[in-house]
Amino acid sequence: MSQQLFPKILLASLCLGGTAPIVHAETRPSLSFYGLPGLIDTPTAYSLPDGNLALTSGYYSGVVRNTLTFQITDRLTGSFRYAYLEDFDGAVGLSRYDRSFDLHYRLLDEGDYTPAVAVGLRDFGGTGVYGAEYLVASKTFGNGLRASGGIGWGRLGTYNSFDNPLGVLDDRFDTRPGSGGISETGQLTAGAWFRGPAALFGGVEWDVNDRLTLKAEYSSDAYDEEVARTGFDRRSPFSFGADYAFDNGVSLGGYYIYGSEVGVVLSYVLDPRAPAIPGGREIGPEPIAPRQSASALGWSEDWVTDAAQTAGLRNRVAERLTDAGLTVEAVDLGAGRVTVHLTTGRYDIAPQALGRAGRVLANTLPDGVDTFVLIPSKAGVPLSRITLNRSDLEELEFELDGTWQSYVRADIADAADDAPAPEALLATAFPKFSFDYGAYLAPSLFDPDNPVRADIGAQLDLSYVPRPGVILSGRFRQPVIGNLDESTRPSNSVLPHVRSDFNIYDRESDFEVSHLTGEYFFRPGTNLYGRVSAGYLERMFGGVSGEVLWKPVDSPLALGVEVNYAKQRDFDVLFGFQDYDVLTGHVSAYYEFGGGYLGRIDAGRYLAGDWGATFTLDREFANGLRVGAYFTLTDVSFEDFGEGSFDKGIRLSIPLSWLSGEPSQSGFGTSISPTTRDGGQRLSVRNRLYDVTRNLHDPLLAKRWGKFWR
Amino acid sequence: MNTGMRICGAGALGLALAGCSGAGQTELAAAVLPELYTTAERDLAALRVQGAIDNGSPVSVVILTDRGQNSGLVPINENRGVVTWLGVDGSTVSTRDGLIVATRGLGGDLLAADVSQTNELLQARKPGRVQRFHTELTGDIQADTRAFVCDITDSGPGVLELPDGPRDIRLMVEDCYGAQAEFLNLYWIADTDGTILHSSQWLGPTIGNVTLRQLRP
Repeated sequence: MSQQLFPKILLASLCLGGTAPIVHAETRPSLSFYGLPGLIDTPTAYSLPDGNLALTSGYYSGVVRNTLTFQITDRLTGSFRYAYLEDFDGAVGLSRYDRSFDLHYRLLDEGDYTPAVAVGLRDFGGTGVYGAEYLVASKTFGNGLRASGGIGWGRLGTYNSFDNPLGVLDDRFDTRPGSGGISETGQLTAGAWFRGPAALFGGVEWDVNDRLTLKAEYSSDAYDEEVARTGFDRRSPFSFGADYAFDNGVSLGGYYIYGSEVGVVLSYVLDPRAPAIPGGREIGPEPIAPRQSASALGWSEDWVTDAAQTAGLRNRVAERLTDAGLTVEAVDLGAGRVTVHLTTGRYDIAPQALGRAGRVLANTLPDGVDTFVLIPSKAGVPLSRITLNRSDLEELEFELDGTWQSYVRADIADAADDAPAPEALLATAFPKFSFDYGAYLAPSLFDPDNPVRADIGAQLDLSYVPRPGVILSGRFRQPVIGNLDESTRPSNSVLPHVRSDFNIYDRESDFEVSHLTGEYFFRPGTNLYGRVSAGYLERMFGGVSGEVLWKPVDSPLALGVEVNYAKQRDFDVLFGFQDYDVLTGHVSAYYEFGGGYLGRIDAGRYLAGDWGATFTLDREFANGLRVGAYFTLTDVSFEDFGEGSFDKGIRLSIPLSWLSGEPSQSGFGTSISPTTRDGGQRLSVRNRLYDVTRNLHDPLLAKRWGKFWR
Repeated sequence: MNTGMRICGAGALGLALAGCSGAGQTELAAAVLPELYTTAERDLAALRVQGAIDNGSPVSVVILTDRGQNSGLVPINENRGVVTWLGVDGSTVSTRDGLIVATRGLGGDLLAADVSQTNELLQARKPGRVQRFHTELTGDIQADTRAFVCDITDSGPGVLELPDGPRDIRLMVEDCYGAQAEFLNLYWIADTDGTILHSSQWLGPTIGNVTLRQLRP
């Protein structure tokens, strides 16, 4: 070969990046106006890729539908929708704000000759505006053509309908009971599912190319209510449109619907497993250096017996760990072993903190110190004991299977008896004062009187840890600009107003003491954790809270008991109390099912004195992003509870590290509850023990060990 | 109807996210910028690299071809034959005999790689078929190991211009495919001692191709 080849090949190598990697990405189905896999207004049998989240906003003819959809499992899709129907209650001069939950389940996967089949429930627990059920089949043909067809009930059984075929099973399927109206809002409308007249719907979509999809559909939704109430002009069952998919998960669709209207749909699909910077972009750790003798490191060879030398080495260890972003509480140095009490510092993924601590120790300590014992703690109270062998770290740093091997070789144990020895405590560790300040944003969306309200202000956090186990802390807020205080809608709750007066708190507070508490953490025994908190526990309640948690260090199961005495705070969120007080508490069971699914049941007495239980299911990705849903049933009747019938909601939390690619203990969490009422409301206590412990226990450590070497 | 609706927290399309306690009271999370201290750490790394270069340390340059970024690299440690090089932004690249076996801080990092078969043929400048294995860190922080089959061919001798003069080299090409990707690695290897003086190596779907060049041995 001649030299001339070189520039060419070099050029080729430079150009490879855009073309070489062939990474198989799952294709995402297009979404309908309802924010679920569908054509335009009707569903298809497809699902989003497992675990994906979709936000969809659709608009046509005075109707806005905002939908959050989550692919809960490979087959099950769940949605929460908030819709605005202009002049829907025009008779009384009102528009309608409607929220609804949907479920969609793919029964059958698509085969070479058989279609995918799915069944769905729309608005199964709302006011029933969108109430419908369907069974739909979808099939992909060559050339990017897909056809769907199905049978619908409820809204989807209102155009060209026929007698319900399920009537052959039971006569009761022939008629669909009417909605019970607002008083039954929120109850499962199971009694009406798949009942009443049915009708057929269907359509086709065609991928012109990777980005553009054309759609045509025939809808069996007659829009009876909209036609009658808002003058919606439904001239035809046919709708047509096009979807354009951008690279970044955003799709934009434009449609000509029902022969009279133009609509647009904007959707954003997000894969929680694919943050912008996979695995983070924080700087690399200091790599492991060859072992050195004490003298080579600047210490005398008898440093173990020389108190001054030992103290000097302890300080250097603490210094280097601090430089690596960890918070060190105690260092106990012996001949062959070092024991370090620490917190994970800025690292939200605990194994990363452990891996970095291990490398710092390997590079700081003289040859001969072979065993590294790391004891992650909360304010000096040990949460687990992780033992690393120095030789394993050296051997596995660049091993192909080093992640799993290092997890297997690490010993993870309970640390009930591992409180730091007084002489091992660092002078800087206790007492410790710290503070944090910043801006806060408090939005309150979708209030019918004003859909967007928010406060922006300044926030100060103070914390004082006088000795291990004791934390005195407070958070203070001063709103600077905002309109949360303009909410005037009074609570009509017949229960004690434990939460429904939230807007009075917003109106009557200015500078506020969000919380001001003393907390005591302790280890009552092996596998046991204890907490006592007292003071202004949360924005609306103060009092005393005690909790004991049983959580073996390697167990997917945890059990807890919490008892609180709570007294309602004054509306100014300062230091006074109102008359209402209550003894409240729960027994809790927590279980990690694997695959990121976390289940939880809390049973006990709630703030309004009602007895019942809360059921929660979360799906948590290893990187910390979490999506969940919960509901609470108590002995408060649906009627007394008021709108919504019982408390329920969905929640979403996104670690800051997911967004920024830098380790951080911060994050964004939100809970979307359709109604804030007084039944089934829990006291909001910080530092509940399950959340404090599980990050430093299995199974979560194992699941996140991928960052040990990062 | 639905009049008491209150949504605590998230905006319609996730644009506004804020903290919210479980109980309907609006609680807030401060909007935080990426931590400032990481900037300071990167500055320290840059100083350290500059200092080492000034003190006569070996120097290489890495070009993240697909991102249009580049950095000078200095070796900071060696563990069992793997040399770790520090870049001016605090990221590291680790090599074994000039083959990249790990990165830290580039995003979608290569946690480890087994390139021993490739190394053997390159050292001997022999063509043949080899396997190589990459373990990369996924977006869900899992260590994901991928296997590739590669054909190594000899593209013949040539001359590479280096700052200290021309060097006789041989270009070896490693053409790989696997379930995840297909890629091409190129190595310009010194005739005298088998040192890889210049190379283009593919490190995974996130990082893509990297050019590594020895500037000062």
